[in-house]
Amino acid sequence: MRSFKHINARTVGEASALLKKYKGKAMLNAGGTELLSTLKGEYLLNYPEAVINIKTLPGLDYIKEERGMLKIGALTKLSDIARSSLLRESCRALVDATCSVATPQIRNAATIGGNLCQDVRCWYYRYPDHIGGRILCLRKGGKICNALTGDHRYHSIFGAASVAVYPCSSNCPAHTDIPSFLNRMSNGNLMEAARVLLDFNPMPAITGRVCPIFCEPECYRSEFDEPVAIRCVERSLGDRILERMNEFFTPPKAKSGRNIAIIGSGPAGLTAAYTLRRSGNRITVFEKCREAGGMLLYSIPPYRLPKDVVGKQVQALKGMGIKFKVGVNVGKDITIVELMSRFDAVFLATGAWKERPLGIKGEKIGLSGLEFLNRVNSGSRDLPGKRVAVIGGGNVAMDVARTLLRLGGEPVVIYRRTQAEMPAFRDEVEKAKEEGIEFEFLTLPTEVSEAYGKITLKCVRMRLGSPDASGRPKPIPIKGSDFTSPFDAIIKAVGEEPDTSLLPATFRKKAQKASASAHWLGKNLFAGGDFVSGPSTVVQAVASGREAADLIERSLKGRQPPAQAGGIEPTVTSASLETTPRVRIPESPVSERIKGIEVEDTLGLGLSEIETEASRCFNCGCIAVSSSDIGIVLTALDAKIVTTKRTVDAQSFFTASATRSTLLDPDEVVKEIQIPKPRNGAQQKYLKYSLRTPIDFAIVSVASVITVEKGVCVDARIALGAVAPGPVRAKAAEEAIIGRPVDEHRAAEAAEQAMAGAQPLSMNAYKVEIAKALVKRAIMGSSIN
Amino acid sequence: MKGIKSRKIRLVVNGHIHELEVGGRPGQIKPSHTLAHTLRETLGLTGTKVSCDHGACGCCTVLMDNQAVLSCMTLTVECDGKKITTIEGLKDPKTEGLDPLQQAFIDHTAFQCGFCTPGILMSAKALLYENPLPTEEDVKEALSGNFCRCISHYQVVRAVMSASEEVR
Repeated sequence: MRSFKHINARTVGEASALLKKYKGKAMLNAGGTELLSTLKGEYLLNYPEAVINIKTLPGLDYIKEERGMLKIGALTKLSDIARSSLLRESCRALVDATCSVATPQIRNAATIGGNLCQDVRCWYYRYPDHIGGRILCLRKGGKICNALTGDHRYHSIFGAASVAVYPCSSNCPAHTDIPSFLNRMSNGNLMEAARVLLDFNPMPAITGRVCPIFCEPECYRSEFDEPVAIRCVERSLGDRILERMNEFFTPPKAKSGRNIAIIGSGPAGLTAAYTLRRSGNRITVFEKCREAGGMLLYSIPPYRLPKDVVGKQVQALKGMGIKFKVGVNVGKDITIVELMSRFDAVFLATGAWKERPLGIKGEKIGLSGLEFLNRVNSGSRDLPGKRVAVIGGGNVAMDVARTLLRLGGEPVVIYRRTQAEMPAFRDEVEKAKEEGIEFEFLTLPTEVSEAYGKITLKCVRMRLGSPDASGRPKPIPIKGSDFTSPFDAIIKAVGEEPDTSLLPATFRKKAQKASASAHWLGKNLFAGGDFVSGPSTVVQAVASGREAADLIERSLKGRQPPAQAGGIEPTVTSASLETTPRVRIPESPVSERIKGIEVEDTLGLGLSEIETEASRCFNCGCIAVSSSDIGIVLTALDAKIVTTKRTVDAQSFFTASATRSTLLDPDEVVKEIQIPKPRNGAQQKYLKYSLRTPIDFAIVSVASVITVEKGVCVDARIALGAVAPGPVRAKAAEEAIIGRPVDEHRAAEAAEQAMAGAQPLSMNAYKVEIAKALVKRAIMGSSIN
Repeated sequence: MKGIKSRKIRLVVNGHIHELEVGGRPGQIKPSHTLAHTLRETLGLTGTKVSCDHGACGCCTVLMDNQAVLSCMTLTVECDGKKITTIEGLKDPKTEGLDPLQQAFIDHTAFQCGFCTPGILMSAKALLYENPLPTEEDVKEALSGNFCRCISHYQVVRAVMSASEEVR
C-alpha cells in the first residue's frame, strides 16, 4: 500500500469536517476490508491523501429499541448484530443477512454503516492497477465497460445507472441529450424523442444531414461492434418533426413583451430566434438575401441538403410567429445602431462570407467558391468552364468540386498539403474521391495568367515540414519543381472570414477577440455563429445560437442562474448487449449521384428502422450492483438511514448513479439505522444465492417481510438484491399476494411478476430464474437450503 | 491528531507490550502498514501467514481482544491499546507447551502443507473462547472464513471438536 496520512476522528462532526477539508481526497475507515482492498488494488483513479478512522468514534455502537423503533448505531459491528438477542427475536431477516456477509473474521471488524457505504463489486471496476493497469471503465469516466461483454454474474438484470458524462452528448457541440432521445425513440415514443431533441436543436432534419458527426466516433458501442447511427436517427426523426411541424413549432403561451432583432438567418440566427421565441419574445429576423436560410440555403449544395428541407424549417419557425424580413441589407438599408435603438436586443449572426485572398499574381482571374455555390443554389446551372481548378482543401472546396462534377465539369482540387491535413470533413473527401474527382496534393498555385481565353495556372510542388501554429505540418516549396497547367476556370476556396465592416467601429475590436461561441459586444448587441467563430459547422452554429439566446435572456431579465439545458436525464437506463449490426444507411450509387445536384447522396430511413437503430444505444450506464446485503434487507424492512444531514429510506439511500454508490454527499456520514419493529408473526426471510458461502457476493438475494393471517397475506414487502444498481422493491409481487391466500401457485405467479421487465444481459439470464425461485421460496416461507 | 511527531501506539502482542512509533523511518510504523506486516516484518512473528492479502482466505487470522480478525485487513495504527494474540502466543507461557488445540491438530493430522493452519488455529481458538462447547455446525461456521487448498477441513473439524471435548 502506498502511504497516506492517518487521522483518528474523535467526533462525527470532526470526521465530516475532515472529509470536507480534503475535498474528496480522504476516505473513511469504518471497518477496513473495503478500504484496504481499495488502497491495495489502487483501482480508483485517485489515491486518498488521508484515511480517517471512525471506528473508535464514541456513541455510535448500540442496538436499542425505542417506541417500536429498532435503532442501530452506524458503527455497530456486524458480529454484534448477529449476536444481539433483541434483533434475533424481532428482526431475524437482518440477523440472517448480517450472518451472510463475508466471513466471521470480517464480521468482527465490519460495521453496519461501513457495509451500507461499500462500493460496487464489479471485478472490472476493481481490477488492480498493478496487474496490467486499472480499467478506465464508464464508472470512472472512461469509455469502456468490460462487464457488458465479459462475465457479468455480479451485474444488473434491471438496467444500468446513468453516468455523469455521456461520450456522445459531451462531444456534441450542442450537448444534445442523445441517450435520452434514442431511448425514447427505441420505445417507439416519437413525440417524446422529438421533444428532447428539440430542446437542444431546432433543426434536426438539417443537422441530421450535414453534421460532420461529432458524436458517433465517441460512441461506446464502437468498442463492442459499431457505433449507433445517431445522425441517421436524428435525420429521420427530424423529417418526421417537419412533417408534423404544427405540433412541435407552436407560438409560445407566455409573452415576455420584448422585441428582439436577429441579423442573419443561418443556423445560428434561426436557433437563437427559435430559442428566444419559445420563451415568449417577439422575434424579427433580418436577411440580406431573397430567402431565409443563410448558408443552409446559399452555400451547402442540394445533394447534401435539399432546399425544400430548409424551406420547411423556415416555415416551421414562421409557424411559431417569428417574423422574417428578407432582402434587407443591414448596414446599408438600416444600420445596426438603429436596430439597437428599436429592439430590446440585437443578435448579429451574419456568418463568415468574406473570402480570403490567395495573395498571388493574377488572382482576380479566379472566381469565388462561395459565390459560385450561391449562384448554383439560386438556380444557375452554368459551368464556369469544363476543366476547373478548385484551390483549397476545406468544405467549400469540396462542395465546389462535387457541384462542378454534377454539372458536367472536370474539377481538379489543388491543395498544398496532403489528404490527411485537409480541413474538409473526411466523409466529403472520401465521397469526392469515390466520384472520381482529381486531387493534386502538395501543390501550391503561385500565379494565374490568361491568354486567348485559356487560363494557365503556375504551381509549385511542396513537401511537409515540421508542424506550424495550426499543428499541421508546414508545407515547404520544393525548389525548381514549378510547372504549369491549362484550365478553363479557377475557383478559389481557401477559407472565409466574417465581414465586420457592418459593425460600428467601437464594437469591431471586441467581435474579433471573441473566445466563446456567442458573445456580448456591448449595450444590447450580441454576436454569434460563424461571425464570431469563423467558418464552422451547422451544429456549432446551433450551439452558438442557443448560447446567445441564453446570454440575451439573462441580460434582459437580469442576473439569473444559467438555464438548464432542457433534456431529461435518464436515471436508470436499459443496456442492450446483443451484437447487432449498425443499420445500413442507404446511399445513392455514385453513378446516380453525379447525374445532378438535386440527387441527395445519403438517404433517410423508415420509422421502424430508426427505432431498431435507436435501441442499439447502450445508454452507457454502469451495470454494477450494490453488494450490500444489509441494504437489501433494510429495504424490505422499510428502514430509515440517518446521516449527518438527513434521514432517508433505505432504498433511496442507494441512488442509481454510476458515479456514486449512495446518495451521500462527500462530507456526509451515516449515523444510525432505524427499523420499524416488524409486527409479531411477520415472516422474515433473507435468501442469498451465492457460489461459495460465505465469502462470495450474492448472485441474487431476496429479503422479505410477509405477514399471513389465517392463510391470507395481509402485508408484504419484498426486496431483490444484486439484480439492479440498487435494491429493487418487487412491488408487483407484493401486490400479487397481498389480500390473497398464499399458495404455491400464487407464489409462483408473484415470482413471475417480480421479474417482469427484467432485461438480462447476454450471459446472465439465469439470474432471472434464480430470482424467481428465491421470491417463490421467500413467499412460501421455505429456506434456500 | 495531537503531536504527530511523537505519535506512538501501544500493542500487547502475546502478552508483551510493544510501544511503536508512527512514522516513515525504518522501524517505525507507517500509517499504511497492516497488522500482518507489522507482526511479520517489524516484530518478527512470522507464524502469521499472508496468502491472498485481500481478506478472503483467512490465513492471516489473529486474535484481537480474543476475537478473530484478519491482520491483512487491519491497519496497525488503528490497533492502539489492543491485545493481539498470534499463533506464537498459543503456547503455555510457563511451560512453553503446546495449546491443547494445537496438540489436537497434531493428533488428528489436521493439516497438510500447513500454510493455512495458523489462521485456522486462531479462528478455532476464538470460537472456543466464546463457545467452549461448540457443535460441529458451530465449528464449521466459525471456520467458514478459512480456506485450505489441501482439503484438511474434515480433520480440522474433528480436531476442534476433540479439543473442545477435552474441556467437557
